[in-house]
Amino acid sequence: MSQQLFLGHQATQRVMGVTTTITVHAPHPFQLAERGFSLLRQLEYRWSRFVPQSDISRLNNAGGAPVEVATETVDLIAHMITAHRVTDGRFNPTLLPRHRDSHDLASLVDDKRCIIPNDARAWNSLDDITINSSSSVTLPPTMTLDAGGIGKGFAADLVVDDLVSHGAQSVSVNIGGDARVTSIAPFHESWNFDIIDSHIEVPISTISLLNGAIATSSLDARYRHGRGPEQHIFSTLHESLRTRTCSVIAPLARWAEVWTKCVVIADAPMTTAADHDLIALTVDHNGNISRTNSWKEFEL
Amino acid sequence: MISDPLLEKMKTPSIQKGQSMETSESPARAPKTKRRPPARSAKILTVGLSTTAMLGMTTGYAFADLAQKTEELPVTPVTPQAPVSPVIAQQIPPSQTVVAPQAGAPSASAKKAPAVPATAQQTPAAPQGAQNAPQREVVIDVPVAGNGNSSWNNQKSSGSN
Repeated sequence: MSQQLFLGHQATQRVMGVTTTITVHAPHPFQLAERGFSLLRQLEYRWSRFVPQSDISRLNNAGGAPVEVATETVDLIAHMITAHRVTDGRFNPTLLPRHRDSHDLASLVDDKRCIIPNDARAWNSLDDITINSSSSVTLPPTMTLDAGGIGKGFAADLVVDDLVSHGAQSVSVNIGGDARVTSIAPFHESWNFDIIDSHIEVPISTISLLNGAIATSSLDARYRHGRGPEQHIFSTLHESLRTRTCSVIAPLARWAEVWTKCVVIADAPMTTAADHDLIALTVDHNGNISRTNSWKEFEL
Repeated sequence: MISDPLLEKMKTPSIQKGQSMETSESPARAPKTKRRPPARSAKILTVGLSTTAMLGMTTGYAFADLAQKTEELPVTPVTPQAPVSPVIAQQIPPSQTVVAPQAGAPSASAKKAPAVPATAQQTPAAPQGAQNAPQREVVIDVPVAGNGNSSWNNQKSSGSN
């Protein structure tokens, strides 16, 4: 049996502060890959807390006034609200003030800084966010949003869907390890991912996906080349975190990323993963690796 | 110690049954709901609980009630309402990819050469002298055989990059 395949192209660029790889099979793969990077840069401009003109920065500094934003930003915030509710607050995008208090407002890739009001504080509820329209959002005064813990996954989903709508037969968008992959029948392209823990030299697991997403969160993700905090994931529930690295497989990258954060801050990570039927792998501070049974189904 | 008055009024995570997600702060707390097969439940979880966000992903997304506050947003049900590509474990032999390198573009090669010679078809090139010559479309028929993903298909997920 043979399949008709289109030309493929893989490209890697630095986007959203991380190494990003787009792989696409399509009639015009080079153009689509460039389109994908262009979309990612647009989203970065909309969501980066280090860009003063971004939708997120303008919202954070609006002092409670409504702000005109892109439709994608409204969608992102809507997803934040849903994620916060579903996880009972474990996923919390309002913790920028904690970064400020930890002196972690500087970008790790350039000299930009995140600017938030002095009176900004963390919130335990997103109920007071008002979505005025498909292009306008109002945050309550003193609330700030951080798209860092969810933006990459959300962006990966957006780009994959866009490239597929433009004829891609198979796409992988990997933004610093948060990836979404898809193949359109009859094209079957499986994607393998090595899960990396920064303290362990060899991959701790290798999984394979046909369609879906994977995200990995590490406590020291913002500690690079001697810059940044040793731990950047904060929680409103606990101060000490037992999990050093967590990976989650899910149908969509925007959810894989949300759930990695929830498992990382959990007192009992594997119990939390089991309770939510997650496909997850964790590494604790001693290097002990745990997997859900469902994770093993994807392992090579 | 960080003092956030709002945080001091932390709500206790509730244990919800039925269609809602069940969460627990401690393993010793209430019983779990009947466990669904993980892959399916992950699909349901993701589709159902991201309905609000999923609505925004399609073109022509419109907030019917523009002044709707967030507390009026429906609690997303678990029942799947939109198709989502399932996460499927790799059990099928992947196809082999042969890429024809083009001048000026980075080339990529398949990890293994195809077992059977491929037949390449090329669309006719644009006439000479055309200012904006369309890119040639190369379609390659490759038999599906054995293992051997392209090296493209091996990626990393590290959480820090």
